Amino acid sequence: MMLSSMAAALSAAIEGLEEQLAELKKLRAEMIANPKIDGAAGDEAADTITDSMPKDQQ
Amino acid sequence: MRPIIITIMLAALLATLPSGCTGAEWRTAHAIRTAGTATDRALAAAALRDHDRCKAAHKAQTKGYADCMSKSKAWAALQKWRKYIRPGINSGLAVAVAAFQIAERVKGGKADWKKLLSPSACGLARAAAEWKDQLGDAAQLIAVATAWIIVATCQGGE
Repeated sequence: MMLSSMAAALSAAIEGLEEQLAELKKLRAEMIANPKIDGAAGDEAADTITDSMPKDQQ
Repeated sequence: MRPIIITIMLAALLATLPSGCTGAEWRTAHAIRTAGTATDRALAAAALRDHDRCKAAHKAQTKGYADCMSKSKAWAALQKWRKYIRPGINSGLAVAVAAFQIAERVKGGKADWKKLLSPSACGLARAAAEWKDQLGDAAQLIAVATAWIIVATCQGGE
């Protein structure tokens, strides 16, 4: 009885660790593929504003 | 399942972790990138709000619009962010990620992730301090991503 409850607790702990490991592997892969900030919003806003400036200030 | 089998499974699971990897370096780098993306979006949204206001009051491509936007703190912030701060954070992240990968390949290798991520984290912390009224929810993400910084490490141009 005691052994089976210990096994259940260990099994749950392993499941938790597996989830954490999977999440960590995902973060790592994402960062290796592209470590940069996604600057699309800032670039698009800057383009919109610059295009609205008088021609001599663009 | 027998405890011995579970213990072996646990050991096997831990063995799959890269050498010297506790995960803190990847989690922190990712948090910095996420907070940086949120900062970019927040500054863009704030600048576009001023753009809409100035465009409504003056016509686009007029001196009036240009004068109106020249008074926009959000537009000034977005320009500074794109020109200096964002590239600095990106360079820091690229260097740190490369160093983490090298450390993983070296047996017993361990990267000093706090030192490696300090320049990027300090850039974000500086952005938060300078533009906190324009960052909205991004300010909270920055606070979480940079909570480990010791203020002294941000001094001296880092």
